[in-house]
Amino acid sequence: MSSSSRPLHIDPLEKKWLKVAFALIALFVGVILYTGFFQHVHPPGGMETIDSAALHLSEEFAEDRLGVSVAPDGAIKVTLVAARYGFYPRSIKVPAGRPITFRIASADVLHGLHVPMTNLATMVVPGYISTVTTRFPKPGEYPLLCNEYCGMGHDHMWSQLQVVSQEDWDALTPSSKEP
Amino acid sequence: MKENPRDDRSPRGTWVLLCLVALAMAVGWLFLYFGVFLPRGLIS
Repeated sequence: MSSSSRPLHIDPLEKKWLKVAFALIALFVGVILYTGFFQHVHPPGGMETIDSAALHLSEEFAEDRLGVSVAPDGAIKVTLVAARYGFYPRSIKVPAGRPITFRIASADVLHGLHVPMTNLATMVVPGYISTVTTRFPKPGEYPLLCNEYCGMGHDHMWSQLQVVSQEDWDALTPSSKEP
Repeated sequence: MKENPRDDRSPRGTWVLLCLVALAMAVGWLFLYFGVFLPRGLIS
């Protein structure tokens, strides 16, 4: 009898370990699906394209349009350009606890946006607009880092993100909200 | 030779080990997900 036709033998103890392992996987996947569907936690979507070589001519990513803007309905948007070697504007201020939509475009090569100790992380692919919505629970100063190797100055590519309390945000004059 | 029926059963220590590992895994994962990941801000 060849080995391929022999019935597979699984030790009863192994079967028990397998059942527990599959139960754990089912629990983890179930929790992820539940929060994904009911709390809308999901990876950023959308496939907006843009001409990376002409960002300065675009309506949204022209130099004087970058930074934090507040819509009449209170929605906060941060428009950033990633370019070797920095995120522009270099310093931004946003309130804690409110949803903030980041829109980022690359002016040259592939970059990555990462804010340590938060969940904000996305790739910035040339030719596409990366859109991420998140909120920062705690006020503080966070670095805004590039986490995709983009050239010799990659390790110097960072900017500053300042998260302020809602009271401090309200105290800011409209002009000082713009970096 | 007659087999002892107790031989078919899992040793109690193995069950204890299995439960401990499974519990530690579940608690650790749930802590990282609900205690660390979600409080840092939902992503969409």
